[in-house]
Order: sequence, then structure tokens, then C-alpha cells
Amino acid sequence: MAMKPSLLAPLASLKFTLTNLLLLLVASVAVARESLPPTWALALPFALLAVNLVAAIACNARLRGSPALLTFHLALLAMLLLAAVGRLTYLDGWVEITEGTRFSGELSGYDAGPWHPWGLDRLDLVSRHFDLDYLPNPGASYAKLGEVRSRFVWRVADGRRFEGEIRMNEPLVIDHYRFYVAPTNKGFAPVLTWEARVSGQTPETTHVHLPRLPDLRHAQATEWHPPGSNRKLWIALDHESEFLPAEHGGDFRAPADHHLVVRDGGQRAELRPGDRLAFEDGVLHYQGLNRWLGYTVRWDITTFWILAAGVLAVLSLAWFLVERVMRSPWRTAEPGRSTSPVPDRGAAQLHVSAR
Amino acid sequence: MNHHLELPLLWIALLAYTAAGVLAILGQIFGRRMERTVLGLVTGGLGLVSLAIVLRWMELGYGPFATMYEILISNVWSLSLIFAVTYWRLPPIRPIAAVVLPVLFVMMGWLLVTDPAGSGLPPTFDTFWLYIHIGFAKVFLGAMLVAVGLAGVVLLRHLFGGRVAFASMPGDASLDELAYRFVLVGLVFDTLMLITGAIWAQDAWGRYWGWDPLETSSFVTWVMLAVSIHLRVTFKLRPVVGATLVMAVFVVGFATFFGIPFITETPHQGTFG
Repeated sequence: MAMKPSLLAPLASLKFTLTNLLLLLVASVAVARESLPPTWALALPFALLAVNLVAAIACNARLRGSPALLTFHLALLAMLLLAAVGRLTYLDGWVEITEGTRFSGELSGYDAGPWHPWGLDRLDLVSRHFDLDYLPNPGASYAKLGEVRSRFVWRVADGRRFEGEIRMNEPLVIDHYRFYVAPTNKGFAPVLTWEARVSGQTPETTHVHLPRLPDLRHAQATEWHPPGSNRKLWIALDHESEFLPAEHGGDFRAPADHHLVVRDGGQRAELRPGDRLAFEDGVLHYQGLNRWLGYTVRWDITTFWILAAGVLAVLSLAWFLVERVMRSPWRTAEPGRSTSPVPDRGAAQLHVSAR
Repeated sequence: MNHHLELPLLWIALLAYTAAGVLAILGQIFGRRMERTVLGLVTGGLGLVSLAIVLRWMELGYGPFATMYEILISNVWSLSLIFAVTYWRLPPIRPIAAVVLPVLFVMMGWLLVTDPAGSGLPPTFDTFWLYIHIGFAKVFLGAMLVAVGLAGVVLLRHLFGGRVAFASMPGDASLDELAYRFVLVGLVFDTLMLITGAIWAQDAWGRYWGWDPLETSSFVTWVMLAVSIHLRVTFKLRPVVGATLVMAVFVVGFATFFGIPFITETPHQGTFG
């Protein structure tokens, strides 16, 4: 059953629009001040604006009579609906991937809409190699980040193999998932193999991620549980070389001269690449030092369509403006101003420039 | 960097803008408008600022896009250009020079006390979206500056005896209508700026919107523009109220361009991280 226009009229009014815009203003400031989460803070004003737009299009004959204004308001409505779909399905995640290893599909952390169609585990994605070049940065604590390149290989469902590179502002896009490098989040990863003293159990190799560099460069230690063991080991990286000295720059690579400090309760051992350390329940084999790099992972299929609707909104607004300029001059006859010492040339010139 | 040529050019440009502004104000007070001289001084100042930008660009190898000094110099250039074209093409509103030129020469003065050292461009600035995004932003602010000139005249007519000084201009209703049209132009380009900025952010940082201080302030400016236009349509405002709204939107827009980067030190948070 169709609603009576009189019921819709208050929802279609410009006063309601103004109220919603002011609400949006307040919500935006609240979000910027981190008083409220963006999705929930903006949901109400955007929903009210969408209702207002639908009602205005239904009730306002003048709006429907102007193709430019109608297109503008329909485009705005499309943007609001697409933004809502985007918030229900988006994914913002982050992950640390060790060089030379396969991405399991498991993220270190994420924010996602309730309807996000999870598909990261279907990506057969392997990190090949990454380069982080640093430039001299005199006077600073460490060198300045320059180029970033990270190479990946992946297979698609039909078995075809692809290879691609992520750069500083060039993501790798697979199945609408966009992988970006997060070069301020990187670090070293000791490669440890645990050979349990249990018959039939195969040795298991783990890449242990040490804290991120450069801000935690003086705290390169972490705790680690060998797989299948209750033992808790404390592992620290010890090396003499300075991390990316500011005077020289260079590339981010594992220090050649280093050793791993392993503590088990009160006992301490130093391991170099290839060394083994025996425990009651297994043998720890230090294979060497690898590197890990942080990535952000985004998924939002509405972005392109929001952009398209936005462009349509702008074009229709410009169309409305040109129509208005063409239709009526800006100078109007005004009571009490019967004469003007300035010739009325401005309106004509504005018409010319608009054409 | 050696600024031995760039800074003297800017000092001469400041003198030209100041002289143009003083002449425009005195012309309105004493009823002797020296429009050709004012236009000549503004055009000359614009030429000098253009030359200073070219010299700096050649020396540093990148455009004026990063530091506060660079944001100021590029905006002085774009605002001067938009104002000079408007002044040339719309003779009936030339007296707005008395309102607009003080804004320009205060910006020039601010520019000359700001550190001119270059900082380099971050890798995310290596994209053509930079030029498109910033270009739209400059047209938006330029349109708003002309609207402010018109609104300023409407307000001055109600204050400080401005009704006599600006008697030769069209009436308040006409100026209000023209200011509203420039605000609409501003809305179009502000929207384009937000859209292109979002595309660039998606490319550079993987999110088209992140509520960083500059993004938030830009969005608040856009909503203020929308509110001012809807207020005008809804309540059929008197010209003096409409003019006050134009001023309010310009203040927020100006703070977005020059206040937020000044507070956060970079155009966008994390840009130089």
C-alpha cells in the first residue's frame, strides 16, 4: 500500500535535511575525536539522510522536474546505500609474513563487517623476497625509508601461476583483496626446528617473529613454546652491528655476525646458525635468521561504485549550476536601486564564460 | 637550499599585493577607483610568485606540495590567479578587491615568515592524483575567496559606513545571488577534491577514508557548504545572513587548508612516516 504524501512530507522537508546534516557534522567531529566508532556514529545520520532523500524524491515535484537535481539526489542516495553495503562487508586486516613462506590466510588482526565473505584461505600466496632500501638521514636516529618492493607468487583455481610485486603505494590485488606493505612494521625471524624425542614425530620448523623494527630495536626478544612441548623458551637476538645507521642508509637485511640467546629457566645458551641445543624432551636446531614484513589487507567491493556515483553527483550538480546561470542573470531589479553607475555587464559576461 | 632569488621575488610580490590592496581600499573610501593599476599590480605580483615557484621547482626538483611554506606559496598563486581572472572578467564586482586583497597580502606576509626549507616528497606523492586533487582544492578555495569578497561587501554595507563606499556596486540581493553561485562552484570542486583525495588515499594507504585530521576537517567543510546552501534555500535568508554563512564556511575551509597542516605538520597524518 502506497503511503500518503502527507505522511512523507515531514520526512521530505529541507528542515529535516538540515537537521540530519547538522547531526552528521556532530557525528563527524565525534569520530575525529575518537569519541565514537565511525560505523556506528555515522550510521544514524546517514540512514536519516537516506530516508530524507527517498521521501524528497517521492514528494518533491520540483526536484523530480529538474533532471539535474533528480540525478544529483539519486546519486547521493546511491552513495549512501553503497557506503552501507561497504560497512557490512568490508575487511581491514593486518598480517606479518616471513620471507619465503606461504600466507596461511590467517590474519594477525582485523576489523570486518558482519557479512564479509571470507576467502583469504583460498589464496595460494607465497612471499618470494622483499627489499627495503634506506636513504641517509643525517641527524636522525636511523636511516630514512626509500623504496619498498615485495614479490609474491600465487596460483588461481585453474592452476595458473602468477607473480607480482607490491610497492610503496602499489598494492597486490587478488580476488578483490588488496595487499599493501606496512614497511614501518618489519623485523627478524629466527628459523628454529624442534626435533622432539618422541618416536614417529617429525621435526617441525617455525619462524619466530621478533618485535618490530626500528622502534623496538633495543628489545629484540620474545617467548616461544616449542611445538608439542610445555617448555617455555626465552629467545633474544644479539648482534654488534647498528641498525640502519642514519649516515649511510642501506638495505634492511639480517646481520651477518649475530647469535641467538636462548634461556630456559636459569640456563642460558648462545646459538649461531647451524647450532643445536639439546633438552630432555627434544633438540632445538637454529637454522638461521630470516626477515618478516607487515602487510595490511583490505577488501571493499563498493569503492569503485561509490566513486562512480560521486562523479555522477558532481556532474549533475555542475549541470544544475550551469542551468541556473543560463536561466537567470545574477543581477536582479532591486527596489530603491533604480539607477546604477556601473553598467550591468557582469551578468552577460558570466553567461559568456558559462557557455 | 639557496633561496637567494626566490625570496626577493616574493618580497617584491608582497609589496605589489599590498600596494594593490591599499589602492583598492582608498579607491572605495575616496571614490577614485584605480582599477587598471590594481589589476596591473595583482598581475605583476602573480607573475613574480609564478617565477619564484618555477625557480624553486627547478632547484628542488619537485613542486610546492609538502611543507607549510609550499602550501602557502601555491595557494597565494592559485588564489591570485582566480581573483585576477574574476577581477578582469566581472567589472561590476571589482570593488571586492578591497576585501580580497588584504586576505592575499596577509597570506603573503605569513608565507615570508615561514621556513622555506624543502622537505622532499614522500613516495606516495609520486602520482598524477596529486595534481588533480590539489588542483580541485585550489579552485574550490578560489571560488570561496570570490564569494567572501562579495559577502564582505554585503557585510561592510551594514558596518563601518560601507554603504557609501560600495554604493557603486549592485545591490545586496544581486551580490548575495552571485556569492551563492560561487559557493555552488565551490561545492562542485570541493566534492571533486574529496573524491579524488579518496581515490589517492585508496592507492597510497589502502583506505579511501581514514578520518585523519585533514580528512575530517575537509568533510566538515563540505557539510558546512551543504548546510549553508540548504539554509539559504529553506529559509530564504536575508543577504546579510547569507553573507555571514559564506564567511563561516570560508573560515572553516581556510582552517582546513592552512590550520590543520600547520597543527599536524604534514598535509596528512602519516604522510611522511
